[in-house]
Amino acid sequence: MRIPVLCLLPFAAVLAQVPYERILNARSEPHNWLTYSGTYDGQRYSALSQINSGNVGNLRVQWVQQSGHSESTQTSPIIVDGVMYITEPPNVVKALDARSGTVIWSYRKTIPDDLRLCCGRVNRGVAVLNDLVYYGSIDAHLIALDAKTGRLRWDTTIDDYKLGYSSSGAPLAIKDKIVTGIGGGEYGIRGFLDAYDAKTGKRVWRTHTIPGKGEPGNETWEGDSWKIGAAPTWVTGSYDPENNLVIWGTGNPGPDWNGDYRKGDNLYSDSFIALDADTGKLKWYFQFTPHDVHDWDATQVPVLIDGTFRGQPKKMVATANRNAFYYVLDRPTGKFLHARAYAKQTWATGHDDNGRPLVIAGTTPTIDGNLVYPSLAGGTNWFSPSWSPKHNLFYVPVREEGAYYFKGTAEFKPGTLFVGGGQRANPAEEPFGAIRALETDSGSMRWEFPLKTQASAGILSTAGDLVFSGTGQGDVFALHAATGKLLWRFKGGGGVIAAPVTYMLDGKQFVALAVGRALFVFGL
Amino acid sequence: MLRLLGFVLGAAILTIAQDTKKEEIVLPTSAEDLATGKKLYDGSCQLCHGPQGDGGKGANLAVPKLARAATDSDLARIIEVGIPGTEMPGAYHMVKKEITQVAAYVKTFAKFTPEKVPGDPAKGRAVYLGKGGCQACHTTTGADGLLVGGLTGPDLSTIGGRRSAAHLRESIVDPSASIPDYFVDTTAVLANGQRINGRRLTEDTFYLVIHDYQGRNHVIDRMSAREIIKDRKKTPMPSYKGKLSADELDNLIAFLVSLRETK
Repeated sequence: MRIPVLCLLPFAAVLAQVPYERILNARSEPHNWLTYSGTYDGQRYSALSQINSGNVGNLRVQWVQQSGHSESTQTSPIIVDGVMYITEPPNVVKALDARSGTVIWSYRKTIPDDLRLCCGRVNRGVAVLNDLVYYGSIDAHLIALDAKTGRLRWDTTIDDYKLGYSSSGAPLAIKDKIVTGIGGGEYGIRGFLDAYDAKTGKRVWRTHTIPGKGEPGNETWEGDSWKIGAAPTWVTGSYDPENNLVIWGTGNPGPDWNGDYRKGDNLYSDSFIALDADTGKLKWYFQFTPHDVHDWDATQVPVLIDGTFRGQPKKMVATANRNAFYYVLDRPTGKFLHARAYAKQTWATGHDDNGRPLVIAGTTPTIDGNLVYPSLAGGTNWFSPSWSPKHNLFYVPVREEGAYYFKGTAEFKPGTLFVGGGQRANPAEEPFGAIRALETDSGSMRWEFPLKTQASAGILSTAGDLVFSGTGQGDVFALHAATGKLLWRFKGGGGVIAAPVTYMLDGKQFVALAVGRALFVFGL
Repeated sequence: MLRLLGFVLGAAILTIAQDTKKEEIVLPTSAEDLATGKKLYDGSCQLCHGPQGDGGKGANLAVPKLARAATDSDLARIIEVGIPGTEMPGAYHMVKKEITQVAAYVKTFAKFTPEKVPGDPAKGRAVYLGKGGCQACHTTTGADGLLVGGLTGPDLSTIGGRRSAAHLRESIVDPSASIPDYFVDTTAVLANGQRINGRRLTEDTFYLVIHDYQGRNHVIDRMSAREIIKDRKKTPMPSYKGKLSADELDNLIAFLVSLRETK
C-alpha cells in the first residue's frame, strides 16, 4: 500500500538516475551516499571534511524524521542528489528532501502477522540503481519502487516466510543486478545469496551457502543436516570490481548451540564467501569459526582495503569477526594472512597457518552452562565498522562480555525455532563496550574510547579526522580519528542501533544517524 | 544470527508467539524428565530463583501456590514467553518438551515443607516500626492502601511473595551480601574535588545519576569527573546482627514474610 503525500512539493529536488557507473565511482562524489556502506569497498569512510575535528563541537540538529513505530530504526540512509531514501520498521520506505526532512513519498508494504523472526521486524536500508529503489521486506520479498513517486514497479518473493526466511538487510546493486541476502538462521533454513534482474525482478542466480549433495563441502555436514543448517546472509556485503567478486558474510550453522546435530565443519557457515558477480559461482571462501556452537555469525561488512601488509602493497579484506578476532585476508584468493584478538576471548589460543582457530577444549556449551568469552552477541555484531585510508586505522564497535552457554534439545519443524540451547549473562561482571581503533595490518589497538555498555551502533569515519558513532543508551558522539579524543556528543534519547552516513548539499555537510525511533540529521 | 539485547542486538527477543496458543499442557512425571528439568533449571533459572527455588532476584517458587501461575499450563507459558514488563525472560532456547520438564521440576519445590517461620508477625510489625526503625528507609502498605515509609531502601510491600525467609534473614544480618544494581554505593569525585556519594540510579557512557543519602539527585558529567568509585559491598542498610534478639529477628522476618499482594 502506498501512502500518498497530499501536497505538491514545489521545492522537490531533481531526482537523477543512478547508473551502475556512479555507484562504482561513488568515491568521486562524496556529497552523495549511493550504496549501503557509501562505497562498494565497505569502508564507510567519507572524503568530506567541512565538519572536522576543529569545528565538530558546533554540530547541531538540523531536522528529525520520526517513524511512529515501536521497533528500533536501523536504517542506513542512501542520499542521491538531494533526496534521502530510508526504511522504517516494520514495513515502510520513505523518500525525504535531504535539506529539510520533508517527506516526498512513503511506501508501506503489507506484511503478514505470523512472521517467524528471531530479532524483531527491523530493516537496514535500501539500494538504488537507475530510477529504482530496492527494498527487502521482512516477509522475504524483494521490492522495486519508482524513485520519484514510490510507486511499486515489481515485487518478487525471495522465499517463504512461513519457513522462517526473512529479509532485513539492504540489497546491493551491482551492474544490472540486485544482490540480496536472507535471514532465518534460527529456523532451520538453508541459506543463500541471490541476484535478481534489476529491471524485471527475475532471479538470475542463487548460490546456497551450504553445498548440496555431491558438491564440495557437503561432506562437512553429517547426514542430512545440511538441508536445515542455516548459514544465512542477513547483512549487506561488499563488491570488488577489479576481481568481479561479491564478498559477503554468512551466519551461524543451525541449530545454533548444539553441534551434535551437525557434526563437521559446516561449510560455508560463519564464512566470507566470494562469488562471481555475474554467475554467482563460488571463487573462494574463508571460514572463521568452523563448527560454530556459539552463534558467532560472520555477517560483518567485509572491508576491502588496498594498503600495506608487513611492508608490502596488498589488496586485503579486513574484518573484526563476532568471535572476537580481527582478520586480514588476501582479497583475490581469500587466503589467510593474519588474526589477532580485539576483545576478550577464551575459546581459542590462536590460529594455524591456514587461519583455522586453535580451539581450547571444554569451551562448547553444556547442559548446565559453560562460561565463554565473547557472549553470543559477540566481540562485535552486525553494526558497520569503518576504515580510514587517511589514518590507516580500522574502527570497530566492541562488546566486552562473556556468557554461560548451554545446550539443549533441538527438534526441527519447518517454520519454528531450531536453536538447541542459549546463554545467560555472567552475574559476576558488568559488561562494557568501546570504540577501538586497530592498526590495519597487525590489528593491534592504537586507541580506544570506552563505553559504559556494550557497543550497538555502526561507525562512520571521515577526512575531517572524525569518527562518529552512538550508544545503546541514546548518545551520539564524535571522536578524533587519530587519538579517540571525545570532541562532540549529543543526547538523542533512544538507543542507537544504526550506522551514520554523511553527505553535502548546497555547500553544507550533514551527518545522518537513526537514534531510537527517529532519524536525526546534524550540521554546523 | 541472533543479534542483540532486547531491541535486537543481540541477545534478542524471539518471536515465538505463533506457538503459544492456549492448549492444556500436561507436565511429565518420570524421574528422568524431572532430572532433565533440574539440569535445565540449574542452567537457566537458579541464578535468579535459587537452587531450591526459594527466590533471590527472582520470585520465590517454593510456595504451595504460585501467584502468577494457577495452572500447569500457565506455568509452562510463563517459562516459554516470560513475563512482559518484568526481568523474567522467555526460555526461547528450550523446546516444548524441555519447558514442560522445567515446569515439572519447578512444581516439585512446592512439595518441600515450607520453611519454618517461627516468629509472630504482629510482634514483628512492632519491631519494624519501633526498635528496627525500618520504616525510615522502606515502604509498606498502610491502612489506607497507600505506601508509607522512606524511599532510601527497596519497597517491602510485597516482599513476602518475592523473597524467602532465608533471603530476608540474610539481608537483615548481612545486608551487603546481595545489593541490587540500582542500589550500588557510588562516589563521584568532581573536578573541583567535591565528593558526591549515594546510590547509583542510572549510568551511561556520559552521565551518572546519584541519589545521595540525603535524598537529593545529582546528574554528573562522567567526562569531567575526576574519579568514580563504586563499592559493591557498601550499603546504608545497617546490619541488625546483635542489635535484635533472636526472637525479635524471627518476629521481624515473620512480619516481612506476611507482606504479600492482597489481590
